[in-house]
Amino acid sequence: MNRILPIVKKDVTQIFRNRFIAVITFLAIFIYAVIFHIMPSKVEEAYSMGFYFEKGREVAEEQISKEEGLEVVWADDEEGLKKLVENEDVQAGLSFTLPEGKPKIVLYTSSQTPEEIREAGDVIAREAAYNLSGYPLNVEFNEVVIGPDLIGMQVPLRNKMRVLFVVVILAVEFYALGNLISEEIRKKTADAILVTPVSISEFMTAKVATGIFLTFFEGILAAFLLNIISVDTVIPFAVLLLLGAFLVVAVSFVLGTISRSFLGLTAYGTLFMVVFMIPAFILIFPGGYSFWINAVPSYYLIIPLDGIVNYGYVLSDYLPEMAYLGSFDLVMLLLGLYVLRRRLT
Amino acid sequence: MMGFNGFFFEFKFWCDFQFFLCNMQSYVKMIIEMEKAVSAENITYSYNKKLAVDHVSFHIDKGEILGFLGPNGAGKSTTLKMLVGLLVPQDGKVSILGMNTSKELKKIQAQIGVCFEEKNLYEEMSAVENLKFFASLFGVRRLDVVALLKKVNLSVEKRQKVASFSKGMKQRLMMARTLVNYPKVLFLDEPTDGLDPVSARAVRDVILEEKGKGATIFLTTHDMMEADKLSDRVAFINDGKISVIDTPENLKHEHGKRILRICYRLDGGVREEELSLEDKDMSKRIDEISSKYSILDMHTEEATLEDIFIKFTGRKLVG
Repeated sequence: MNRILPIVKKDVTQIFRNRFIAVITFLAIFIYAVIFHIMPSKVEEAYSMGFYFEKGREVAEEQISKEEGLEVVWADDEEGLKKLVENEDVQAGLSFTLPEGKPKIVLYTSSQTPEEIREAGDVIAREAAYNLSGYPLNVEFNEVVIGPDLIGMQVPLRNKMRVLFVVVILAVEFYALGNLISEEIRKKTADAILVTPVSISEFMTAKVATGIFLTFFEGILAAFLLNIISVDTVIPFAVLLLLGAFLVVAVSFVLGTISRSFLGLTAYGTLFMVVFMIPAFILIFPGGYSFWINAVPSYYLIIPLDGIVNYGYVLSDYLPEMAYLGSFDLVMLLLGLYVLRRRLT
Repeated sequence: MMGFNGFFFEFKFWCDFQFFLCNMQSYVKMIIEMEKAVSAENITYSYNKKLAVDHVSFHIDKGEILGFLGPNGAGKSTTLKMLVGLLVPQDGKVSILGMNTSKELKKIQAQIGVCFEEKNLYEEMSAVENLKFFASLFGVRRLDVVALLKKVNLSVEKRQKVASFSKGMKQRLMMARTLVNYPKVLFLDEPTDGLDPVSARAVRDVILEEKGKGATIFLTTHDMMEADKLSDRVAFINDGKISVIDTPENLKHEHGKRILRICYRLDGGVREEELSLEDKDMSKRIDEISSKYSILDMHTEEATLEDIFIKFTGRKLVG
């Protein structure tokens, strides 16, 4: 221990004296905190829809007012309805006309309207049409939620994004620790240490300790700035952060060992970073989920992080994920230590 | 009653005598070993089946400087790495201060100092920080950093980042780093390579000062003059094998040619002639020249280590 601590102190000093690493680390944390605080903190849950009824507006108003979560804007004519949609005053517009006595329903959406909003408009339009025509479908409709019912628990985008931010901050450590290890090998400072009474095991333990310390410290700092830490989340977040830190250290060992230059480290690091972050994007764009994402280890860090930070779940809800992540940490760390030991001897 | 003769032929006597002899033998061996600070026996190392060091054996007595000379790729650095424990010999063994590197490496490393050819310092840290860091790895708490830096003429630049140092300053700091644990044995890999004369002299002064304090020094160098000046003995290594090991004086005496070079005027031009100092007819020839021609210059020349190196290895040391 009395030989590990000086190495850790030296490593931390060395990392923060590298301006590039220091800047990308702290600038990232600062910028993400600013982005988080300027983004809207509430979710717009109401769906705004424009209506034009050629006839029977009074009846329609009465019927439509029964629809939950629907913000209604009435247009005086079809052109006025189109204008409302075009100006994005409403997310969709529904016109109900009776040309030649036959009801005609048209749903207007803007070309900028996202697919899911169009689909929602379509559903609302059909429901409204059935209600208005007086012929509801002759079926019994029941809704059963499998798994946690998240209705009413809509999370603002910025809260989803803070999980991504934490993951990015962890991933930046690939460069910091990877560069530290790579430099020790390339500049042969590791040799200078290994001809002192410091053993290879002590040397590697010091690197693991430095990596865990830095990743953990930066993760906690980011968590404070991103309002993640609360009485309920502090322990589960710390546990997950620790598991994430081990993953980062393990990957950095491999990166630092295989990289022959800073350019090489940047190239390999970016590759690992992108893969590491993909599961975090799924939180923001759920439509992008693919089965293979389950194979990315960071998935098992990000999903519990999201659940705990954004939905109030507890660690015991994610035991299988944590077990998988822990196992992967162990395997990856052993691999990292093995390649580094081979390189040093 | 058994007399002296009777006891002499007794079985027990012979057993005791044999035991005594064996103990004496190991005692003498131990005393000899104690005098050796470094001992390498048949050490061998190959990289991907290419033999870099081929069954090399030598020893360095306590307080001695051994110059290890050889061209690039001869196996000098690999030998040094095996001695200091960075590489494990694939065959043979290394003992330092009576301890085997395969068994007591960390104890050995606590008592040695290594100066690498590469300037492997922490460039983002200052000279003081570098020295303090390495001292802490040896568990040295009260290191007089200022005195150490003064020794290598770096006391003014002690707070500067190493990145701003010149090559000579870095090398001097490397020498200072080698001394942070007050080592008994120093391993110096090309310590003056590429340095300006002032820095090279500062490094040489430190080497001699450490020798004066009783340190044993293993010195690899390209510089024959340096090896000649500093080393008590030199070893020539080529293609992973030691060709010869002896004192520079012995090598020059036994293998070098001492000559007398005479320059004299002949037919309006200048002629130069070499005479062997061992040649019995030398004085006769000098008389002959001085009587017939006007002598311009006459001086003796000793063989250099470079000449002897070429004689043994067929290669030049540099290039």
